[in-house]
Amino acid sequence: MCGKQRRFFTRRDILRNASLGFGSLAFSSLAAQTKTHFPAKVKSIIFCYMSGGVSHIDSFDPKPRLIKEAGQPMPVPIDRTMFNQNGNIMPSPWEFKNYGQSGMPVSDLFPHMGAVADDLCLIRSMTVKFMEHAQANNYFHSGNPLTGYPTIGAWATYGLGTVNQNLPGFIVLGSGEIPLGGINVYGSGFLPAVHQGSFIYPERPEPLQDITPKADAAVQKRQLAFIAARDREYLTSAPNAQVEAAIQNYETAYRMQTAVPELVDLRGESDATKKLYGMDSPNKEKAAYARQCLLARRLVERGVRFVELSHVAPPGLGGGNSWDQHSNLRDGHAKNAFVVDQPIGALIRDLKSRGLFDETLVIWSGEFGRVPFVQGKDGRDHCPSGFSLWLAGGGVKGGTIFGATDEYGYRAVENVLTIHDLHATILHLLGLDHERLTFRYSGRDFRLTDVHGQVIRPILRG
Amino acid sequence: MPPTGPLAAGEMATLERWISLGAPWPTGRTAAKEFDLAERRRDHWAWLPIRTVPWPQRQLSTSAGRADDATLLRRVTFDLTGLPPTLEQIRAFSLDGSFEKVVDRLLTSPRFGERMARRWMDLIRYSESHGSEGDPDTPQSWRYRDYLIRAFNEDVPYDQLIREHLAGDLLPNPRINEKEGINESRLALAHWRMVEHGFQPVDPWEDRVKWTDNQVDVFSKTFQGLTISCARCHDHKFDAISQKDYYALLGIFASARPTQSAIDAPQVLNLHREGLASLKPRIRAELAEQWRAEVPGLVNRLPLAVRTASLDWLHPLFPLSASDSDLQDWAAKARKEMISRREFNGKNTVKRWNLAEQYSQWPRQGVGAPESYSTAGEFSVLPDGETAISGIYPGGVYSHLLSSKHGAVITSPRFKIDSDSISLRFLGGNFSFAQLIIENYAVPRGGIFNLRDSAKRDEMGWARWDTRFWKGFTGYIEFSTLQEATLIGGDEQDGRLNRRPPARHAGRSWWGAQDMVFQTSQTVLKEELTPVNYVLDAVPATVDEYARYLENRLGQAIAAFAAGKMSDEQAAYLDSFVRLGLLPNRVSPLVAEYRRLENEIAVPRRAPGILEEAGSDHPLLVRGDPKHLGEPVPRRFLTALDGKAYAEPKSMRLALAEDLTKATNPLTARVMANRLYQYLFREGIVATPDNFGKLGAAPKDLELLDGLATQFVVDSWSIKKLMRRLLLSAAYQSRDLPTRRLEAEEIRDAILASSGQLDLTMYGKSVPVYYAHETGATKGDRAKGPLDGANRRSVYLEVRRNATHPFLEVFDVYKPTSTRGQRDVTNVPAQSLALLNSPFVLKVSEKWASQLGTHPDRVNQVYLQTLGREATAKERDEAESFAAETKSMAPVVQAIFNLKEFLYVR
Repeated sequence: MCGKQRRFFTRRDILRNASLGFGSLAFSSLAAQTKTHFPAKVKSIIFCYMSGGVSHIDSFDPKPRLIKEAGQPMPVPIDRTMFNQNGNIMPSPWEFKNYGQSGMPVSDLFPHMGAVADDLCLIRSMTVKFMEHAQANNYFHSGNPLTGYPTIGAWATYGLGTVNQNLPGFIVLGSGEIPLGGINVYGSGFLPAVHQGSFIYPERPEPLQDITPKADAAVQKRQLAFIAARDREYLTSAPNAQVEAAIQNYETAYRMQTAVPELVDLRGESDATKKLYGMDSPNKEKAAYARQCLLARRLVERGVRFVELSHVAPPGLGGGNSWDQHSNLRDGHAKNAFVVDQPIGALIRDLKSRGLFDETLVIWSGEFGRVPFVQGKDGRDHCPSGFSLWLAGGGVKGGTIFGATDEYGYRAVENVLTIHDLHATILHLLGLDHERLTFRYSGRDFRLTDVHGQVIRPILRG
Repeated sequence: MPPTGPLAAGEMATLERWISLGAPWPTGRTAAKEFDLAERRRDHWAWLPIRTVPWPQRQLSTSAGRADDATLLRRVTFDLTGLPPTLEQIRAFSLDGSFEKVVDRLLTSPRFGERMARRWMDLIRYSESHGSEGDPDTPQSWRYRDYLIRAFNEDVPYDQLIREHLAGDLLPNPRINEKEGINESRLALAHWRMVEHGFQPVDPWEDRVKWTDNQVDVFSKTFQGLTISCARCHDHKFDAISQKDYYALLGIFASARPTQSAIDAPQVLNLHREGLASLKPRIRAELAEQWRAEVPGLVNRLPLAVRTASLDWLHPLFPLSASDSDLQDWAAKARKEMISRREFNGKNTVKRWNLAEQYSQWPRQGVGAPESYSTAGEFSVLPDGETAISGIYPGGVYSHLLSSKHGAVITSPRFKIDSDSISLRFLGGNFSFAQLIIENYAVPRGGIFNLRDSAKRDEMGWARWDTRFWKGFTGYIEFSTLQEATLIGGDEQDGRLNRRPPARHAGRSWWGAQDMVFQTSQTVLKEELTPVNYVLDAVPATVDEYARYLENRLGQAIAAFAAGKMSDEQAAYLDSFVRLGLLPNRVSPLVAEYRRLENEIAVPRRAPGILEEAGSDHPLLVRGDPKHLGEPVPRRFLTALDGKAYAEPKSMRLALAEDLTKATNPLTARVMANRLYQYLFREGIVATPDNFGKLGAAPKDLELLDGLATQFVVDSWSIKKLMRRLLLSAAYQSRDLPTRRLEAEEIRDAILASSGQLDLTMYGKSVPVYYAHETGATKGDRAKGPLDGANRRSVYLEVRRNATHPFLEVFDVYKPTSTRGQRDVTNVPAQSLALLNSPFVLKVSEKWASQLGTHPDRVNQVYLQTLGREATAKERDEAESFAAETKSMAPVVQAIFNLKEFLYVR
């Protein structure tokens, strides 16, 4: 980062110190609670990332032609693939049913999502430019295939700050699985590190790094008193805004020690709610993902801006990309879908029943889709040229389908979209103009959408 | 991109307020009307020559008083070494009072190099892995970190550092570290390899453009304070940098092929070369002598084992027990077979490379890479065991003619892949590789990149690669010994974990290359060179005569061997007798002497390196699009500084280094002087240390900057001298120097150092990273490092792209992407939580508390070692009563690690 930017923050901090006092400096966001560019449609984002790449033609984009031409060579030219083991057309092993008033077709992989189809705004024409997981993961999150760029959660907190001073604005619910490419997909890139995703591990004894006091409460209180007294003297001897903010952090940190355990403590949730999510499932992974979804709702309730869920890999599918079925598609996709389907369906129902749905945007997607022709015996290779994802919540039209792939589900052909368009739309729903949300670094003003991206207006409500 | 459209009134007001607070903002025009390089050059201060001005005494004085001794000592110790002063240092200073002595002591402390190395690592985006899926190692990158520490400690002049960083392999007089036996100049090149690679890119050309772009970015920000990468897609929006300038530089860097290089000094690498080379002809003569004596009657004496052995039917000894007529049938059949093989191979060949003719054009590196192609009859002396040599080789290029410890990489000229497959005939052992490198992609891991083969045999044989998927890309063929390969774990990545050289061969690896065939099919080629070739022309009528005939031929082959002039056919024929054990092949005193010398050769140390190809001008990419090639741009430096095209393709990096370090370059000295100033004064004279362009901050005092830059060059680019001058100025010693928070590494190191637990061991392999989160990189095959980083200084902790040390991360540690001359300083509760609750801080505190025991002076000691000053009586009482209440000193010690007075320096 250039020194200018660092100074920029210091100045702004000073400015804000003057007007808001130190409490709101806790997460040092540039503009916590500042005005948006235009009225926001939603306050928070919940991102259910299906790492590895869900097959769109086996989930949300049925292609009857694949059944008709099963076993025949692809009649259209195909792009280079990761493994170059391109076989003939393989139809989906799953049946599709039409759901709800909208009649949206969803495959048997996702009956619970089907049940909320009228709330889903389905996009069938997404594309990415990168064939491999890590670069596509980075691209999906930051608009750039390489590391070092701020990801969407970081941009969101940079633009909007956090509402809850006791929790970070961008939280990743950790499962131990991380998309290929590593933790950079939650990184803040050249934005200050305050904007990077903080991990909360719902299943671990210490859900947030270093959140659990190891000393007993009395000792820690004594320590804090000692620190506060000494720090006050130090500050008095030479006043300094940065030091003062650092002192203030201890109060926030102390409150977080209570706030985080309270957050992950689900005893207050009813059995019915837990059951709705599937927390009672004997399937360990499903129960774990259910807990993430329930926590996502609790985080949104507490004003956290951006929540990203980590996939929970069924046994044998670990390694950061559990949807990556280069072989054994039927078994792998079925197992993965079983883990996420009910919890995500429940999340939408629960948000609705609590009146949070309209101020939240849920995003469901993998980094790319999967090709309509077989790889090897029974797998599918990556398909970045066209795939499906859905949005649900405030500001978007439920029960609609936007864009289309060709008859084989191979290439997006109608209303073709890029990740930049998706990013522009997400920021738009948060009340931010993707062309105006900039950060100066390395001699120019950077945007999440670089020089690209258009808000996908046809899918917006009102 | 700058925002379009007007801002809302409220935002406008905010901006105005911000500006009124003095935030830097480019003056004048911010968007170009039309790109006029000359005008931009004329209009911007940084392009104009450095004015020769005297040492800026006035600007380095101060009206504020001098800081007190304790503050000053703590300040200078952290600034120069990244550590707090020790008790002894505090006492010495209080007795002596000479700040100058303190400065001189710190500048000569080995800790200085460690501190400066870490600063430089932020600039050069030091990393030990390539990122993306799998996060593969950049093998032995830590050696470059050690290079930096040594270089800064020795105060290697900055212009020399630049030459080494750019062209350490091309310097006529490389800098040799006699003590360590290291060629330091060559080691400096490792940074070129510290790029992020995609995983198995289906378009490796696009990938290559991306990482070469990163090289341009790091080069230009680090050495010139320019954002040249902004001109990849179009002329620079603000600075005097054209799009062509960008591709002129990119072309220079694009001609560097990735490899691992031996970094030992020449005298180490060449140990006993002459001795071995002079022993070899004597061994050859001795073998020939012994063999000659064996020839008469040899066929009659053939051991039963050989006669009854299941020899290939084509072997010359095969028909010895046949009848006379069978012999003739055999000969006819053998001739037919050899003709059909030749025809078959011919039919399947598009093109054949003659290595004997081509080899002089092959870029190569390593002491084992021979100067020339060897004609038939070469051999390699085995390093151990009962046999002296493994066999007689046909013509080819061999890495191990003197020693299999010699590393060697040879690479073909670059070519466009246009055949369906490529076959190579080669031999090798201990995981040497033959591979096809596509678009310089250094970390291929099987799958579509299954273009790599380990021979595992000391006889020539074919391997074939299917290249249909890669038609249209450029690549080159590479033969390399194990440690010269850029991805040593390649076999591991394929799941074949046990394929490592046996321990007794550790450090040995070898190959021999003979033939390269480009094919239309996926057919495996047939052997054309067999021992029978040498006997088929005149097979006699009877088997008895045939036996004499074989002996006769053997005698001729041995004579040719002795004379060092044999044909491939003769070599193959003689080789089969040697390998069948029919000729003596014992360890004579001469061979023993050879082995004794060979055994003394050290296994070379390797580091990431590059190998220069002749290269070519890089096409301009229209709008930066790798698929849209424009005209080639001649390789050269920036138009604004000297745009003359470089003439000599093999030394362009050297020419570039000269352009950076010559007196007329207005940026090099300024940029570095500004960095050194910033390291001491908290903020640079130019507040954007990596951007001296139009959008960077203007210098607060150009005369001061030029004064420092001038002195820097006058002092022969000595970093220590300039820092010393600055340190001894009144301004540095002022009471009013801005407060700064310690950097992540300083905090961790200070916690360890003040508690007496820091292990000051220098150099060596990095301590593996301790990662809080499982990452895609690890997949369980990489052991997690220790929580306390083995108590080593943070500069010795491993830096991986996909995993960050959790404690350092919360304090804004640098993450390797591109040049970053100034760290962020954020304030987050995670920092307080780390200091309050992290097991690392707790562990250190408890250990220190138990060492302190109940010593009456313990509080004072803690204060001195953490804060660099005595505790007041009040502070002592408070701390003691705190300890008494909690019945332990540990919470007290830990609380002190949390004090702002500990975490900040004034």
